[in-house]
Amino acid sequence: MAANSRTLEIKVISAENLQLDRKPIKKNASVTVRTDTNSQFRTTDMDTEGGAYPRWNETLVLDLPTHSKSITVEVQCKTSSSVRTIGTATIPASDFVGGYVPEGYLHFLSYRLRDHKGERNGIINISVSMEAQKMYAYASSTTWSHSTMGFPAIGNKSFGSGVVTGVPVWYGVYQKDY
Amino acid sequence: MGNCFSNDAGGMSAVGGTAASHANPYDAPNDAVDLFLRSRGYHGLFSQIEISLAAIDLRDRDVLSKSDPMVVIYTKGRDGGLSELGRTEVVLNSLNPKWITKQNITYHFEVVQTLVFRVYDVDTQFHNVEVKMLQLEEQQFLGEATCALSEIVTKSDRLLTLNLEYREELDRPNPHRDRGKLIVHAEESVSSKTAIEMSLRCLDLEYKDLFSKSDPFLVISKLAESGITIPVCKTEVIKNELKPSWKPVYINIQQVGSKDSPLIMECFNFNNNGKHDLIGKIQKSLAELEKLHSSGQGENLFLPTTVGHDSHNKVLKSQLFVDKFTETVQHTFLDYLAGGYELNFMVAVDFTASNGNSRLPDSLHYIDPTGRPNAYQRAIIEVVEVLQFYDSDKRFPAWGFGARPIDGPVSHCFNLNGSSHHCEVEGIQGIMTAYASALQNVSLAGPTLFGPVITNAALNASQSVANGGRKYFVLLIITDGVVTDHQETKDALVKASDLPLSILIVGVGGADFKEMEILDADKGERLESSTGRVASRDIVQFVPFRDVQSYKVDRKHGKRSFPGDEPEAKEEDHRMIFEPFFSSARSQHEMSAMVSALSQVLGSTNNQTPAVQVPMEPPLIAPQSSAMESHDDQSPPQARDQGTARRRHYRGVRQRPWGKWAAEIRDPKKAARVWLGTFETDEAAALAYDEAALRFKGSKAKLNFPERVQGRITELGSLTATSTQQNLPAGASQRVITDHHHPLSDHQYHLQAFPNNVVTPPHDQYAQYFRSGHECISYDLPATLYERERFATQTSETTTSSSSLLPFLPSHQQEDQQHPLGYSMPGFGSSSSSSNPPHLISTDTELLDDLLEELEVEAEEDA
Repeated sequence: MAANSRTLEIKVISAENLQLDRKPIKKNASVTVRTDTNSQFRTTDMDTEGGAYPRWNETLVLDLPTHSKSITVEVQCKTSSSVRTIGTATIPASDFVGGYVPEGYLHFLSYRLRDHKGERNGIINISVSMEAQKMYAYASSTTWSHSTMGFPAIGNKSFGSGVVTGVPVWYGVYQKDY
Repeated sequence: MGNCFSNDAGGMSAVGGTAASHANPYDAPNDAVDLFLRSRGYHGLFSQIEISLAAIDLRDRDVLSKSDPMVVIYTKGRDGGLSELGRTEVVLNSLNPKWITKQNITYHFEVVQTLVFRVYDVDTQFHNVEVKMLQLEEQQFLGEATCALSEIVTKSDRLLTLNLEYREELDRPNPHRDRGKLIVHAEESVSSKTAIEMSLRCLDLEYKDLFSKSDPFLVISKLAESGITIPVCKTEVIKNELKPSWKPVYINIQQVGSKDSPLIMECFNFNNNGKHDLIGKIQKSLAELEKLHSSGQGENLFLPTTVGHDSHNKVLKSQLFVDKFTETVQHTFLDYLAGGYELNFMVAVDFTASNGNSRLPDSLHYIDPTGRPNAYQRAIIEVVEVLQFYDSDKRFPAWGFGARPIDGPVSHCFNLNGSSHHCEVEGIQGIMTAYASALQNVSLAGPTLFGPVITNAALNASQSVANGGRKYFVLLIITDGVVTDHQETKDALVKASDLPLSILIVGVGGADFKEMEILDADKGERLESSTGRVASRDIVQFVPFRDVQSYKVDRKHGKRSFPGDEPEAKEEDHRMIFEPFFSSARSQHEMSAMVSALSQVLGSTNNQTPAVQVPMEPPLIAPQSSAMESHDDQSPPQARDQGTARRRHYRGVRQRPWGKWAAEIRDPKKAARVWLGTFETDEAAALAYDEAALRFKGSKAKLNFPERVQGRITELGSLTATSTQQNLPAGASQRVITDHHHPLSDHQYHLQAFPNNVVTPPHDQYAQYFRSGHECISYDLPATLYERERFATQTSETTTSSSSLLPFLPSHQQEDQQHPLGYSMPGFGSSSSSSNPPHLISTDTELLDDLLEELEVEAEEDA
């Protein structure tokens, strides 16, 4: 079955305030990104320096089937005994497809992570952009509709990503050494 | 007693030279406010002046040695009263002293700022007393000189020589004129946008710890003229390492003077008790460090050693290397505009019924036939007048919300111009006309919903993005009430946080806007939508805009009596003289406050500044007390002066397990513990400790807030506080006073001091993004800015109470809340604070509590 698929470029930037058993984690946090429909996933390297504020800056590329409604981001931490999940966040595809901006726009997104009990556990910061769309052979037993997510065929990335969303305003800290 | 060390693990992180802090140049003018004022024709309305002093031929009052002079600088108010601005240090044994301490003064060209300099000979017995603690009555008076600030500034070399006079002798027939001369030099404080980023590492450090390798960190200091070193920044501590390589250090040229001024870099071994051992040091200017970098060679550290009476430098094997040396220019608001971006302004006006029937004069929407603008009109005018300079087409989308258009249901986003197709209006006049006509055509209703308006604005912004527009959108929402659709508004905000859009919410009328703070994510919490998405950045600012007129009425009724009331009244008179310039000083001020908020909105970067620099002064603008008041109910900035993400530990303060803060001190005479009570905040407890310490130990006391003591004294000495005092927000003492008396300026300084330190996290992080695949050559400048700005919030650690960009609060809340700064220090007789002072002996109920705690402490100590 031929299906539309989009290449998703997800840059896992950083996470904040990660805890394991109510204690800030020390190191070895990694992030796995999954799509909801096919069983694709990608994982980052482990962060060794950031502690509870890990920083990866790693780009993961995934194929996102057109009918995918969401991707899942999972933060794990390797402890001495096992790899434990710290928290997950489900990112609806609508946050980076369609909506306000054209395809190819570099979305900077942050999500609240929740652990398996549903408790808040840190924040993850990622950026997502959609690669140019291409035809992709894909077999699936599920049914889907092409029309759910329309997006312009021509994605001009050059402006999507170059937009300023913050103006640097120069402030003095009126400090003097006395 | 625990927590007496200010250096716990928190002291191990880098201070001053971090990415976040280097973006805060000292004394840098606020571009936005400056530009705004200039746009109104107030050229050079103010500028920051640095006064340095020297004297020649002073009278010798000491018998065996020469005088030990010190200068106290005052400003003279219109009523002749003096208020102290600051003091220089004491120069020992000199009749021709050159004082190092500079005095910063904000120069207002339209105000006659009379300065009075008094020179004192400080007795030897006071020499180890801090200058600010000196009682001037106990010192010998050497002479006095008076001049106007403009006299100095207008001199071509900015150098003015004044004859010192001796007061009592002035009346005598043959005054002894030969009192020496005082030389005053004024210099405009320059700001430099150049910052240096350096990566430093050391090799072969010596062992200092007994059982492990050293825990080194670097302190970089500048060398003041006198040889005094002033620390500029310090790096983080690297544990157990003899070849440490520290995270990059950022130094603003302004911090050090110039590239050629010498810097002292000292490498210390971190010690938990705060007594760090010097491993070695090195003296190099930035230029020399650059050479070191290019040559790739290391420089040997040396260690000053004293053998008998000789001191010489022992050269060590340890070496310092500069791995990276880059010079960057900080971009400002103006650079951004020069980069070709435009601002696009949008406005949304609240038409809910709570505004009152627009035909009645007490309505916020009442259009006065005399032409006096109502609160909405003023807010629009004042924001648009600033923004229109940056908006070339001057076509502004204008909406209304919360009203029922003729024959329709309540709309939460209707076009102000009545058109069903296009929402744009032409210029300010267009907005005004549309607003007035909308008032005629709609019937006020409710509730107050922001969601639809924000969604619409976001749509506009995204369309612009889709069309390749280089625009940044600013949505002004003017409202009189608290938003009712919290979650929907939050969702809309979170969704829009990814777009080039900022939102300025202006609250008019007297409603309690406290809930608006939730939207204004300044408190450190990022907005979270119902779906779990978190705002990429803070795009909302909230400012209450109060009616000047009604405020004055308020005052006459005496409804509010905050300590600043008195001087303020005088200032008002004072300002009247400059009526042509300040047609309405207050509203002028409100405007600048709004512009500040506006620029904060635009900056909207990092509120969770991890490394905030401590002693700060009020903004450049004269902190005229105005109708708006704010209140810092969070920890004062001092709490963050460790520049770390951790809370500061105060001397003599412990946190009870249930969250309260306990303060105690030892009585040095009885060697007994004195319980000072428990407090809601650690600052309050620390202040109580300070107060007690001053009582017990006087000038030798080690304080949590030494910087505040000066303020106290000055407060005492300046009961005649006058208007000009407020115009000259320069010295530290001034700062403290302002803190206490003028919640507004306090706030304003927060606004300006913290907000948009263009945080440059390791900003190369996105660079590769842009290089790879995105051809955006024309976006050169913006792109880099973008990289920096984006996600600045995320890069910071959010554990502290961090942001002090507190939104304005309606004034009536002020008295209710405990102001950590508001505690008075009875020891110094200052009684001007508004909130409850801490008590040495607590009330009955607390006494028991305290006794219990006392016992517990003893148990702790025994164990």
